Amino acid sequence: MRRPPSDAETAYRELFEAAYDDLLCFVERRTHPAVADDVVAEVFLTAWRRFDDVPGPLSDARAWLFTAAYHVLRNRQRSEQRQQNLTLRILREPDDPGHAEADGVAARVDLVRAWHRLSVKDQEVLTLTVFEGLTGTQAARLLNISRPAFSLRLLRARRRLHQLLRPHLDLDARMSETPPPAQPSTAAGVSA
Amino acid sequence: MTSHRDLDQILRNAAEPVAPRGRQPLAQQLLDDIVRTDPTTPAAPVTMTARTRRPRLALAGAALVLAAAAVFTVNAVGADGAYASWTNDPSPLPASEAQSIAARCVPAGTQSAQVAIGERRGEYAYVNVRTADGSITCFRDHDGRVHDTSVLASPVDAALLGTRGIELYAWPQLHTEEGYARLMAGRLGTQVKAVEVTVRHQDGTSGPAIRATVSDGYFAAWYPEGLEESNTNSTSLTLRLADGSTVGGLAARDLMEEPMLN
Repeated sequence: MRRPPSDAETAYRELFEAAYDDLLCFVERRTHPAVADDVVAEVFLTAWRRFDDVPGPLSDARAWLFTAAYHVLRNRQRSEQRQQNLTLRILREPDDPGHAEADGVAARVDLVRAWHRLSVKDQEVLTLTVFEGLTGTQAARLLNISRPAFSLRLLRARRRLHQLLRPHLDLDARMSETPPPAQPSTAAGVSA
Repeated sequence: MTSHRDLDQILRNAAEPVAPRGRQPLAQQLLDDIVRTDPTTPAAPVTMTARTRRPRLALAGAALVLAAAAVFTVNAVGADGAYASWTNDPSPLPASEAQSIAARCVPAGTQSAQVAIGERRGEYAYVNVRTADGSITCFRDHDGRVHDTSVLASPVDAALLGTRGIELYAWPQLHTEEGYARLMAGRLGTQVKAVEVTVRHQDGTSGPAIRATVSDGYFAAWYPEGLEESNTNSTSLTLRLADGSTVGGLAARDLMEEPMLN
């Protein structure tokens, strides 16, 4: 049902305020920060023009925006045949890994290196779940695969990450000594 | 053994923290610009030229300009042989070739699409197409692939440009396998006979003048661009008039905000 114009603008503004940071992080993880703003603007403009298609609940609306952004990015990457070079930039190297006396710093380095050894597909399913907080159904829809297929892909990605970290099984103990990042946003991402 | 839940938390703890940005002026400006647009306009790709650029609003509706590029590696001008055959001076592009490129670039059903101007630089061809909604830039790379970006922007009335005016209605950045390129297209006052583009590099030095193609009141140019240069946006234009005088120091960034009317 079409919303009255004033209601639509109010609802749209609420969605924008609630989802802007998450969408910007989503895009920044998948493309260069220099163009992330542009992709976000394109997605939000599309959402405004197709607002009747945007689900009402915030969780589903976020997933709708992520899916729209994912398609925009995929189309651009497809034309440039650059998927092979895409790695999801999520994790932060310690500022000075050369002085990794602290166990927490060493563990962070191990984790970052393990992350970068994952395939892009593995990184993608983990990112959608762990960082972007999509449900299995929402993530499966975004990737255009079935819910069971997504679950299987996620399970395998987690196993592979575990395997890459196997030499560092005390990772969690060492990482627990590392304080969590200050002032995490609703979704952690890469800084521009 | 680390459980899935524990590992998820470890990953989150290792992520780069990001400060909220939704309340910053750039985001709020975007929101305001979007809600001022007509929501009944069919959704279409739009492009923006610079990350700090404020979208320009036209009388008939907002002109949101978004850049179309997916990016990973950045080549500075000429680095690693990128865009090696590019030249500062353009050469003519036959009308038939321009039409052929436009046909591969303009979406089917686009209203009132007309080639405004085209040019060649080395192996590359660039065509700007005016449409009912704005303009589309079509770029043919050295492999023959055609890349496009579109800009939804209502042009100013050409009469307002007078004799010495200039409107830069498109300044998108695109990315090919060779790196970034920056494209320009616009309209000119009746006495403007030539346009030169100067790109200032990150280190403060300026490259040699890039001469634009000028034809029937339109101008077009493009140049390879490194990411750092794109962030500084210190490109400037110089107009050469029929009486021999010049109008210099026109910042492209300012012209994207407001045309210079005369």
